Amino acid sequence: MVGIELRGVTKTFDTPTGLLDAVNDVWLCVEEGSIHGIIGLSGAGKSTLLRLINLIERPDSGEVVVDGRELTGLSEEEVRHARRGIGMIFQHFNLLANRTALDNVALPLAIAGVAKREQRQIAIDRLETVGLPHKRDAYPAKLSGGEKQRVAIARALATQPRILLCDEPTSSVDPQTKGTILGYLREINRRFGITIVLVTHEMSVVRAVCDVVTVLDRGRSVEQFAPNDHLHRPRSAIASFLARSEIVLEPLGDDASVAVAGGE
Amino acid sequence: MSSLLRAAPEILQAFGETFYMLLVTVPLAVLFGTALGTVLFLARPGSLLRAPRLYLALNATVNLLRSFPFLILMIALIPVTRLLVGTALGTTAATVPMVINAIPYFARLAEQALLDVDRGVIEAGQAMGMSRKQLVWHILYVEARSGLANCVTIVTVSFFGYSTVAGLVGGGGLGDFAIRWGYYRYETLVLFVTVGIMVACVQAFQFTGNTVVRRLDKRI
Repeated sequence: MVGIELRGVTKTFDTPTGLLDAVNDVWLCVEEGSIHGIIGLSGAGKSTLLRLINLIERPDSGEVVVDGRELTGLSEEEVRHARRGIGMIFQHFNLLANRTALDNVALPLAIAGVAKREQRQIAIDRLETVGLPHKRDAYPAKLSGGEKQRVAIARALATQPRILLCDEPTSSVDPQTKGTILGYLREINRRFGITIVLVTHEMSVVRAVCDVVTVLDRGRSVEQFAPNDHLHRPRSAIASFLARSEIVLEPLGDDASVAVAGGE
Repeated sequence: MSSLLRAAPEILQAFGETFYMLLVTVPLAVLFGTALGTVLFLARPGSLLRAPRLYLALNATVNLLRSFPFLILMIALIPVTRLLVGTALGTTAATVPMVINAIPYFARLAEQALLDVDRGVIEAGQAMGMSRKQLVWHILYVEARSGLANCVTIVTVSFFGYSTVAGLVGGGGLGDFAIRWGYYRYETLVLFVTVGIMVACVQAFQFTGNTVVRRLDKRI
C-alpha cells in the first residue's frame, strides 16, 4: 500500500536573487507503515518537499496524494481538515512558550473540537507514550531540548495521525538525545503503524531508522535506496558524499578554511 | 502650606478627570488597536492573508493619523468631537481626539508584538489544521500576550502625558491643573506637588505593567 504519493511536484520561489526551483518535478512513493528518509545538503529542497505533503506549501504543479486522497484537489477548508491526519515535528520544536506541556499536546485536540475533559485524558496518555507524564505542568522553557522534542512528538500524535512528518527532528539536540528521539520515532512507527517521512542531512540518522531513503539534490530526486542494504553502492555524487562526509580541517595557512572530505 | 490646602479639592478633581480620560482612552485603544494591528500583521506581504491593497490602505491611514502632532489633531477634530459628544469642550470632549490618536498608536505597537511571535510556532499551528482565526486566537495572542501587555503600559503612560494637552479644550486633568494653579498663579508648591503626583502615577503604571508582563511571560 502506498501511504503518500507525490506526482511530479514542482515548487518555485520568487527570491530577490531570481527564481529558485526549490523542488523540481519530484515523483515519490512512500510505502504505508514505513520510515522514509529524505536526505540532502542545505538548500536541496528537503524541507520544502516535506511541506508539500501537508500543503503548507502549495505546489505550482503536480499532485499530492495522501492515503488515497488527492490533497491538491481539495478546498482550503478540506485541506485543513486533512492535516489533522498528518502530524508534524520540527527542528526547533515549535512549542508554544506560554503553554504547559499538557496544554501544548491538547491544542490540536481543541482545534479538532474534542471535549475539554477528553482532551486532557488524551494529552496525558500521549505524554506517557513519550515518557514525560511527570512534566505535564512544565513550560517549554523548563524542558531540555530532547524533552521539548518529545512533547512535540506527543503533540503531533494527539489526533491519532496516520502520517508523521519530521523536519530535521534531531538536528538541534545532542548526540545522546538524538538516539532517544530516533528510538521514540521507531517505536511509534512499529507500535501504531504510523508512516514517517524524515528529513535530515545526516546519513547516520537515515541508517539508524529509515527503511528507504530518497536523495535530493538541488530540488531533484537523484537516487533512492535502502540504507541498510550493504551491497548498495551510492550512484549519485551527493549520496556518496553524504555517506562519507566527515569534517577535516586544512592545516593553518594564509587562507585557512574548513573543508569537508568526501564527494566526487 | 495653606495654598496646598486650598488647592486640595481641586487636585482631587483633576486627578479624577485624568483617570476618567485614561479609563475611556486606554480600553478603546486596546480593543480597536489590537484588531487593527492584527489586520496589519495578517495583511503584511508574505504573511497569512493575501491582501496587498488592504495593507497599503491601512498602513497609509495609520501613518497619516500618527503624523499629526496631538495638539493640532485635537483642534482639527473639533467638528468630529461636536458630532460625537455634542460639544467640543470638557473632559469627555477631550477623550475623542485622544482615542482617535491612541488607536493607530496601539495598532503599531500590537503589530510589532505580533511580529515578534516565532514563525515556526505559527507553522506548527498551520500543520495542526488551524484556520486563520484559530491561528490568531490560539497561537498569536497566546504567544504575544506579554508583548501586548507591555504595549498597554506604554500607551497608558503616553496618554497620561497627552491628557495634559486636553486642558486646552477645558478637559481638565492633573497636567492642566498644574499649569493653571501652579504656573500661571505662581503657586510653586502646588506646581511641584501636582507634578510629584504625576511622576508617582507613571512609576505606578510602569511597575504594575512590568509585574503583569513578568507573570504572563513563560519564555524564560
